[in-house]
Amino acid sequence: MNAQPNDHHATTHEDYSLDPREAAGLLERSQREAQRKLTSDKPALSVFSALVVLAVYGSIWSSSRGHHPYSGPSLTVVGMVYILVAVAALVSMAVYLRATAGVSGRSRREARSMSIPFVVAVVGVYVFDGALKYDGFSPSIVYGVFDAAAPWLVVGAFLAGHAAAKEDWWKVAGGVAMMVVAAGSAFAGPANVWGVLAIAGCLLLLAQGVLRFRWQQTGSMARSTALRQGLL
Amino acid sequence: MAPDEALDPLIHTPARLRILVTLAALPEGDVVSFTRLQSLLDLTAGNLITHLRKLEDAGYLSSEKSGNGTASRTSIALTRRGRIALGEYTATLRGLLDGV
Repeated sequence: MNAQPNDHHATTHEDYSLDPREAAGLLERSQREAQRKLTSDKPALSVFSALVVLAVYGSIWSSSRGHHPYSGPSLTVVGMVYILVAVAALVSMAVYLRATAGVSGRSRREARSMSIPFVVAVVGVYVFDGALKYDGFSPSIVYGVFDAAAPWLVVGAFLAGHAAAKEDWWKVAGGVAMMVVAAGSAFAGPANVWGVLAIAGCLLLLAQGVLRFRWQQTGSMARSTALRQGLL
Repeated sequence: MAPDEALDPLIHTPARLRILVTLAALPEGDVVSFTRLQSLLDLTAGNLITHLRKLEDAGYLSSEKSGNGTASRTSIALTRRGRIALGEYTATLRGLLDGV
């Protein structure tokens, strides 16, 4: 251990026995607290992401609606979108690193190896975008329907697949909902697809935030983990 | 026999119960550093190390030291035996409370 040798003789003032009711209360509180501190699935992060999606997709929709023919968002809006996406990515990364500080092992290795196909899939969407433009597709496809909906399909499929492997059915439902919303939104046309995804994406993330908050409050997240591990 | 004598006495103390529950919250196959565990539990280093030794002696957790000097790091993980013991403790506790 990292402690000094004389620490070995420290007084263990917590070394007393517990009443069973006290023990049950302590068990539940400790599970809830450990889950809260060790997870990056925080309700506040869902709300923040919901606001970012609303701002990003909403500003693109606002900038491109009423175009005849459709020409895509203005460069100012595109610049603002890149800044917002970068800030959101940094905040998410900071929350993840804080939650997983000092933790290593299988889940960290999984996260690292998962990030490779995820980045390739997202970059692939935009390479495909370039190919569509090169092949002469109109801006309404290249900068409208495809740019708006394709990232949702890819990210939704990725999340659902990963969650299914872990039997995390709430996350599977979230990934499937993303794909359904993305596919359906494409019918709204090149400008309105952004508006539909702004609202639907914001609502999905807010729903995720509410669920995470309820799980934290009731401790059911801790209980479901304990159930999976055969502790309850 | 008092009802709570059925509970594993090694786990049935506040600090050791919190240690095991916190380690059980990690996904299987993960380890946590001594310093992070200390900050999660808000225990002194001496107190934590004493409890960890008892749990390690019982085979409920494993620790591994890597590096030397100031760069050394101790990683702690719940063993399969520790996970089973905590499961049995929880089941016994539930049985006791259901019987009240």
